[in-house]
Amino acid sequence: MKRRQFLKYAAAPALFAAPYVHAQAKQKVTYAHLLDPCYDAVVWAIKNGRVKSDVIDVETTGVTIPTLLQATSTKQFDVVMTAVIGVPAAAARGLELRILSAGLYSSPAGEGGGVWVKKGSPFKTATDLKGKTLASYGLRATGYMFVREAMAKKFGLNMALEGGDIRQVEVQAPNLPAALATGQADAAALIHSQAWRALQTGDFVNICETGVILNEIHGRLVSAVNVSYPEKLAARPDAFKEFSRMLKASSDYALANRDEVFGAVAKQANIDRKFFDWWFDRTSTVPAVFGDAHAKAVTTAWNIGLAGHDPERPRRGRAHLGPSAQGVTAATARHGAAAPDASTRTKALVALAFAATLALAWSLAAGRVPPYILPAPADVGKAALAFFGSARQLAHLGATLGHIGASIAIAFVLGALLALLAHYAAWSAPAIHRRLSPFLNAFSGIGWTLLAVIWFGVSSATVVFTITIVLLPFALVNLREGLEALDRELLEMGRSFGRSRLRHFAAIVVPALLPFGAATLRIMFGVAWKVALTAELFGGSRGLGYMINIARQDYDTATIFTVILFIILAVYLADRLAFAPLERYTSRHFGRAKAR
Amino acid sequence: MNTAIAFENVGLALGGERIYDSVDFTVGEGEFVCLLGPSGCGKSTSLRIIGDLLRPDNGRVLVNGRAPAEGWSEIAFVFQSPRLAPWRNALANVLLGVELRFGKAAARRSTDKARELLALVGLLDSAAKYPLMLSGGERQRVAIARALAVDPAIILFDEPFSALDPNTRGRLRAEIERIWLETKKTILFVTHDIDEALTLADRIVLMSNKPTRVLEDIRIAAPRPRNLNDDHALAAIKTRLQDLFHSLEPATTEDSPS
Repeated sequence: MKRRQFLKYAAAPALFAAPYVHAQAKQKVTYAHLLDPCYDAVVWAIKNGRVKSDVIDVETTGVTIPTLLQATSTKQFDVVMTAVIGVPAAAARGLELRILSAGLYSSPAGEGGGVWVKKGSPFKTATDLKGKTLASYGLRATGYMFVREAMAKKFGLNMALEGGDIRQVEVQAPNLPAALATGQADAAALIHSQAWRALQTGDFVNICETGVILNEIHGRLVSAVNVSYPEKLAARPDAFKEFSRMLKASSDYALANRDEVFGAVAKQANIDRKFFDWWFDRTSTVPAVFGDAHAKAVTTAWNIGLAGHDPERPRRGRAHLGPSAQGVTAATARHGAAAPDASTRTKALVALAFAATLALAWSLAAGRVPPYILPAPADVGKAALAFFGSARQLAHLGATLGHIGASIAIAFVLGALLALLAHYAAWSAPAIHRRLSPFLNAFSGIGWTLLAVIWFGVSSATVVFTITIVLLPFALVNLREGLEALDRELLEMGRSFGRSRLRHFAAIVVPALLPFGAATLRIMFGVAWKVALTAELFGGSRGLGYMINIARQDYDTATIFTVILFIILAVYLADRLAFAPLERYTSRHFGRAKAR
Repeated sequence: MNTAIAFENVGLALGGERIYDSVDFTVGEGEFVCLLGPSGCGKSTSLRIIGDLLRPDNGRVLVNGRAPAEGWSEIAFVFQSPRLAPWRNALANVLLGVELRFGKAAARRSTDKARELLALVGLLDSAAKYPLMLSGGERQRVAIARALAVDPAIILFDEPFSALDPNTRGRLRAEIERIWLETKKTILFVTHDIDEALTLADRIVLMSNKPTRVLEDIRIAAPRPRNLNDDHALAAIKTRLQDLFHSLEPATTEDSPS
């Protein structure tokens, strides 16, 4: 009794001293951006300590476009650079996004976009391409949507993907120049470094400057935006304001210190430095703010998307997109406006005061309502201690870990096999990527749980099946991306030395896929926890979800709180301490640090 | 002299375009032959055909008297870019070719030899460095050691120095010449650089624009190491080649494209 009393008083000074402790421990804001040397230059100053903050640490990661889109929905990162056209689509599917700033805004010069043909080709204008083949890096990509818009508006072409005036095909970006050179495609849409190389070599001619045309018709367009989520913004508004400031500062720094930044990134990415001057001056700007002009440009892009040139798409889209898109615009404009700056200490104080108020409110509220509605903090602490002292409850924890581990392993292996099958046996690709993958993506975890219960009963098999089938498309899409990103030159080198497919696979393909494998594991781990609880709740006879289900029936809310806190902690720690470092290591060691 | 590579009446079309109508040339055993021609004339394509990475539509190609599908194992490539595996250090990259051709066990046995080859290209001290830590010239040296490590009878070079700066290029040319004199491998070396061909080749096979044919087959008898500025016979050949290049590339104003 005496001792407890003492502890109570001893804790008091620590509480008052806390603001300074908090001020020292900086928050982290994670940011996923386009995997491209040009964007490496944008974030270079942040990464290399030229732009600093007392309030937050920013962790930037470059990922490919499909992964960016996926990360947008998994909320893996605090801020994600995502396709403009995806924002209303996300809203229509229930993913609320808030635009922080414009990520890519076409330059007044309008270069970098366009339709290219081989030098000496008989096709001189876009209309000459009627009945011919136009290759694109992604038929559904925002940038390519702009190309189609320009060709439709300026030349009156029917740019529908199916049944239009021009046959349009998707060719992996690295193969576009070769497709042009060998005549597999009559024309191709080239972007970023490819457009630049095309300009440099003179082997190709741009017959339709779509960027210039769009600038004339619509004004400058925004193709990518940096977004976050309402809940993340609400939780740490100051951190995000600070992030926006830093991104803008970093972008400004790159333009003000071209020799330093462009030189360093050029060396790192093994690309000619002039590419950056051209990219920043002639093709794209990186506003890193969101003004009225950008909001207008974004709305224009959405309208282009709605008008589409696909007879099939807009009908489906319009019904959902109209109102949602407007909603997002309004929300966007509000967030885009710069907020007043408060000093760091005030911010920390406010954050602490908020947390303290919340804790106090929790205690007070818990005193007024029964614990089955809201347990007191002390009750939750007791439940947590009991949790780790109870063999039965630890067994449930072990069961959940087992479910998650097994599901990740099965989904990874299955996804890898399917991705490899689609890659090496071309006939199976449409079935896997166009049918199986969207089918798995479309159906919800809870739906699978209910079906699995019918098939396998309430059992671990049901839980593992459900988690696996939800994870499968993540593995499939990521590993497909990895296979498509394989360095063709390295593969050809391998073939020149030996014909054994097995050796080739072990010595070249597998190591090159490791970064994608690590990213896949990371995403799957996060998703698996979310699904596991639901699956165990409805279909499991063991595990934390089952425990929650029982606790719920016992009105044991403290245990539910404990499980939730534990999951938050486990996912966070595993991500920070295991998966993020693993992903960083593999991408540094096996990834894009290409020596060519 | 035995024939190491024979290209007989080879024709090829890719994506509807005629690349070759009928191309003929030979490379003798131990000979250093340069395939010279303007950019995009299909020089590298011929290496791919010899290495069985591409099949011609008609004609016959022989590698030491056998079809490329059987003869590929006598060949090693050095490409325009080094094409090193970023996750392997220099030594492991040299061994990668051995591993792909003969298996892991053979690669383990070849470690000492790989070190010798790194020493031969002057990179023994960098054996543990990863490609990212090496300069462009050093990476290409590793690629050369990787090719030598499988002890091929024939080495095919595909414009290996075109991405390097002039100083490095000059040094590597001298090194290739030295290695060739030491090892007596057959070398077929693709380039669009007239000076490079004149410095290195026993024989220059000059190719035309597409559809490609062989315009000239010039023997270079000048002693090595060669100095292009002092040798009148070489200067005369250079002038002739430059004139031929002019006629092939009307749009180009440079004498010696690089």
